[in-house]
Amino acid sequence: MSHPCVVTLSQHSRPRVLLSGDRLVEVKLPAGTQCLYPRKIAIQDLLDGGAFEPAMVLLTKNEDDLSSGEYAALRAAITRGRLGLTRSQATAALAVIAGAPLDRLRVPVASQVDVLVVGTPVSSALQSSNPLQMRGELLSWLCASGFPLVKRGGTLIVTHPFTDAFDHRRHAAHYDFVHRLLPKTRDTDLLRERYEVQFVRDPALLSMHAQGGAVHPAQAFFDWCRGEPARQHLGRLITVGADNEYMPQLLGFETAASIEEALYRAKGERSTLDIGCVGLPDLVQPQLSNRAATEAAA
Amino acid sequence: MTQRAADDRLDLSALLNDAQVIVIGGTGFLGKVWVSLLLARYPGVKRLYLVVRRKGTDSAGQRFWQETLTSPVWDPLREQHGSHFESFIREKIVPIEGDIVLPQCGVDATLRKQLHGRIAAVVNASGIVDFEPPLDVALEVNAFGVQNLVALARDLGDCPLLHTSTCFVAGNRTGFVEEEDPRLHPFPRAGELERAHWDPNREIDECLSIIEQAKERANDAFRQSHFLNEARANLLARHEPATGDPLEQEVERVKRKYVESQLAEMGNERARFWGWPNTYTYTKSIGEQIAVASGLQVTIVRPAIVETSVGFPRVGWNEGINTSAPLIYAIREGQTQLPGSTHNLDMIPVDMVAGAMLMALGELLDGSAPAVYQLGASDSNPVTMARVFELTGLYKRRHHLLHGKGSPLRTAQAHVEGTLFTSERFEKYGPKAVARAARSLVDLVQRRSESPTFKAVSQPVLHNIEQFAKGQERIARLLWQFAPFTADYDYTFRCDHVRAARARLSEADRAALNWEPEAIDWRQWFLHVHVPALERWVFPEIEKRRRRPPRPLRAHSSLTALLEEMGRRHDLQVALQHAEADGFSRISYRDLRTQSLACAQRLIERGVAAGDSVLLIGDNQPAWVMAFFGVLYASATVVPVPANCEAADLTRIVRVSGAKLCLGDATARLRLGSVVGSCTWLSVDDFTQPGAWPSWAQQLSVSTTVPPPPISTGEETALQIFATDQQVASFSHRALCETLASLAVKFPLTPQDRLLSLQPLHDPFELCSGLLLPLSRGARVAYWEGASLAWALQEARPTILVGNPSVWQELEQLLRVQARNNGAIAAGSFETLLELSRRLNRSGIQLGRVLFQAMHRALGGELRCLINGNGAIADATFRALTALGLRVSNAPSPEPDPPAAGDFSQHSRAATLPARPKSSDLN
Repeated sequence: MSHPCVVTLSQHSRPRVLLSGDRLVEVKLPAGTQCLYPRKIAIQDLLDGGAFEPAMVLLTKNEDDLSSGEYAALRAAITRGRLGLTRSQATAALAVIAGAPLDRLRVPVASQVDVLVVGTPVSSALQSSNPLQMRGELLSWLCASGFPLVKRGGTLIVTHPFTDAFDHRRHAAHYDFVHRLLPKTRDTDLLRERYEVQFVRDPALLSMHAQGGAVHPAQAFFDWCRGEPARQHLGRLITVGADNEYMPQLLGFETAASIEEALYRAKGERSTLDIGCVGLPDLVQPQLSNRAATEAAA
Repeated sequence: MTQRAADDRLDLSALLNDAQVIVIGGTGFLGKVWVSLLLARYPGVKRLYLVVRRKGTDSAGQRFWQETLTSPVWDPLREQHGSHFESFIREKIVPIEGDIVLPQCGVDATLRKQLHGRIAAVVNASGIVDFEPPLDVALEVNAFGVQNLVALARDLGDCPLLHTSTCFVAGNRTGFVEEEDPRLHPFPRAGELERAHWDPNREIDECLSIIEQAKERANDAFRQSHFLNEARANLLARHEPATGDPLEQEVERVKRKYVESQLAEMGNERARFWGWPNTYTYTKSIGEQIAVASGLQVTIVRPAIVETSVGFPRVGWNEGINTSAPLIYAIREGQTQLPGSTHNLDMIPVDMVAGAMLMALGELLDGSAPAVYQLGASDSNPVTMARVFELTGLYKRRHHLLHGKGSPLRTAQAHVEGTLFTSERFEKYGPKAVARAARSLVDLVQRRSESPTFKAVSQPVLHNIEQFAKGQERIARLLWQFAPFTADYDYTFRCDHVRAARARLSEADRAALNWEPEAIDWRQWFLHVHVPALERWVFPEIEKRRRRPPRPLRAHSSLTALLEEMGRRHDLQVALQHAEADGFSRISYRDLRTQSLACAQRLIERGVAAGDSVLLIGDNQPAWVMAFFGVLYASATVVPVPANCEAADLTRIVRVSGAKLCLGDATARLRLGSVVGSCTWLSVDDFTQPGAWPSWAQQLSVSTTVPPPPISTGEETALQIFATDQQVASFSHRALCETLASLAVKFPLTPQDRLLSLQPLHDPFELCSGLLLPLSRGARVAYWEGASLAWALQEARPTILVGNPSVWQELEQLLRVQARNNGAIAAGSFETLLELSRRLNRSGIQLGRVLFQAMHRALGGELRCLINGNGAIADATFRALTALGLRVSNAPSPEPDPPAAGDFSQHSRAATLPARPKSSDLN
């Protein structure tokens, strides 16, 4: 018997709706895929505070259980484009997500998967588009519990546009990091050794942080480095729906035109794949069963 | 043919006095009227041997006395003979077993020997009435049947033969059709094609050869594979078992349909080439030629369209379902396009045909009969198809104005006139074209609409259009069969021979046998005789066939076979759900099957053998269901016990059932664990652990290798219920599966349906309707033990609820309380809206879901059907729930096997059911 928040897809399952940046997209996943949804207790504060707009509320439920009207509303949100979140909603949501106790997020799962399909983390989607920050949040989430849901050498597929449109005022350091440092190297040790000190003491970036409301330049380095354990654990990182090729490449992702193509690449020589899907990653923390955790550790 | 002596008087009484006649087809529409008329007018006839087909276990005699003799066609004889009617019939009619398709018509050899030389004539009034039957069926009755008739007549001492055919063997001809020997004009295109190529016997040989070939080709490997695929798809679509016997039967059915369609096509091809419009007239003509070439004394009677009587057995008697009735019915029901023209439509009342057949028989016995008698009205009092169409329009208008009050659609129909099309225009613009257009529209909308919102809205409309298209195709097929006779050919059948025969009759005989087609006032006959007769005798039959209840589905051989099939078919779809802190957990059909098999293995390891009883105690939850199937997989019998069963009762149940094992949940174990005596208690709690796969399954290492399911004959006892009335009711696999098959027809659940369990599973009604029925249709069942009903309704959003009258009464009360809680105004308006909804329902307008949105939201928002069992629902409750827009239907409980005497006499207290949902649960 599976936990109420774990849904195994059948052949008749509806397409899953995932966040891709601050938009919604549909992905058709094969039968047998295990999808993880947030527990009610995890999102109760968001719902109570009205921090989620209706389409986001629907995103927290199993698509197969939505009524025709609800599903139509979700599709309408996909057609509409960007989620119309107000600043106060986004601020409230970020505060709740940041303060959510880990216990509330835990969803028990039986075993690790070969491929994990994830949507953009909500906290990343609610902010302006920042692929570096998204990468950091996603990869750090994967290893947060110590036992990643993906097997060692497995594949992570994320839906994100990787738009090169940083907030030049607030995320000047991220822009600089991606466009100035990453073309030189993506080796974290090398980056830290050669560029970290110089980068975090850059007078222009520090001035923007002190007077212009920009994040500290160390934040860009932190966002890169916090993804490092997950990057070393994973075999491939693939993004679906990117609007350019170079940004995913700079951040260490392959690009695929569709989820089918991404799964085909992930499959490689394998005969079968265990596929998992987490639509709202920062609202779900997969908790492996003792047996699976022991196997993962071994 | 014997030379005719026209100047002689034809004394029918003398000819028929003491005559013994064998009648084939005497139970059909025409045959019955003929036999009744013969006995009514000429009671001096010695005996009629009526050849009647055996039907199932009913013998010829049974069929005659129970089916044929109950017809109003015998009323004149009943009036004549009063209380002696039965003895008169027994004296005059001897029903004998036989069939025209059998050698010597299946008449017993001893009887044939007894009757040799004593039979005055053999009369055949039989024939198939389908216009486009498969070639083999048509030949069997219309051609080989005549060969059998001839053989019978020969065997009886070369006695004369009166054979009934049809005027329409004339085929593709227009104008006068003479009453000539069929051999003179053997096929309709005889003036155009080389006659030497036509030989009826060669036709039969060639037809037999192609029938053989068609049957042989159906055995080709690729066809076999295709049949198998189609059969599987059919069974899946109908939710029937797709393995074992049902699959074999379906493959046979698909194959038979294929061969039949091939043969129908082949028959039509040959018929059309020689000039006949269909296989029916083609084979009838072959039959005629066989009869006249036999060398016997033969006469052929060819009636036109046999219709409602004008005098005998009464004014307005008709049973003909394949004549003008379907056309008139189709127009009445709204069909506006028909194939037709201003050509003659030759209709003749059945009593006139019967009278003319008696005249023909008289001349046959007299030795003066010509080869053919045509019986129609077109040469003396013609009526055209256009006129019949007009009269039908008049009838339709009157009918809808009279019966359509209150229905705007029917009132509108009274003012819609139809159109007659030529065959070409009917093909181009008729119902077939309408169906094509409807399908194109559906295709176009489906191809263009990407939006799921639009799809959700348009789906029901598209489904209705699809159904409409199917209906139009069906009507097109039906009407097209009539097209040659109503639109293409303009016949005038000469009926000189019957007129000449009538001229030879005495005044008394002429008065007794009506042949005056020229005296028919078609308007008066149509509106005041024909249509009332159709409305009384024929339309109810057509409506019965249209609304024939769907046949029950094929049943699974056993409950384990059902789960095997559903496990394969629905695999990862959700089968069961259970209320947890975070919502409803999900168990797929695959998991249910695998875990049930694992449970079975565990039981077998504990020593459970085939035929043993296993007690099952606990609240409704998925573990109960898995254990239930686990016991069945172990070939044992489940003895469900109420969760709140008293210790004393349980002790008795253990003793009477002889159960070795008891599967129970923790609560039950705490209360009853000590009273099961020698019975070993096993916990089902492991089943319900969320997250990981059951620990016991891992201990047994059965997660990957489950035992193969046992083969069940279906006769084993699956369930034993220790009822409150101290009786033990046993249910076999077969009984439960058959109940399910009949329930599935009445409640066609879909995999999208969700059912919330309200009653305890140990009740056989709940087990069947509330668990096995949804599982047999791929639907899901949710168990909410430990949660509130209001929460469960909101979370599970059931589409169907199963319960008994008290559950519905409680539900009604809950809704009324909810209305009252919203204030006096809300309570008052609730009652008013209920009344309004009830009134609208009576007019066919369903607004319950709109008027009571808040109520529906409280019930989950998607509830549409309530299945009631275990008693009649209170009238007030029924009216309130249906006014809410819910469909309430009764379902039967499964029938137990013949009762076994159980040692349960000491069972003093009724085993009480678990508590019903409380009112407070919804608040």
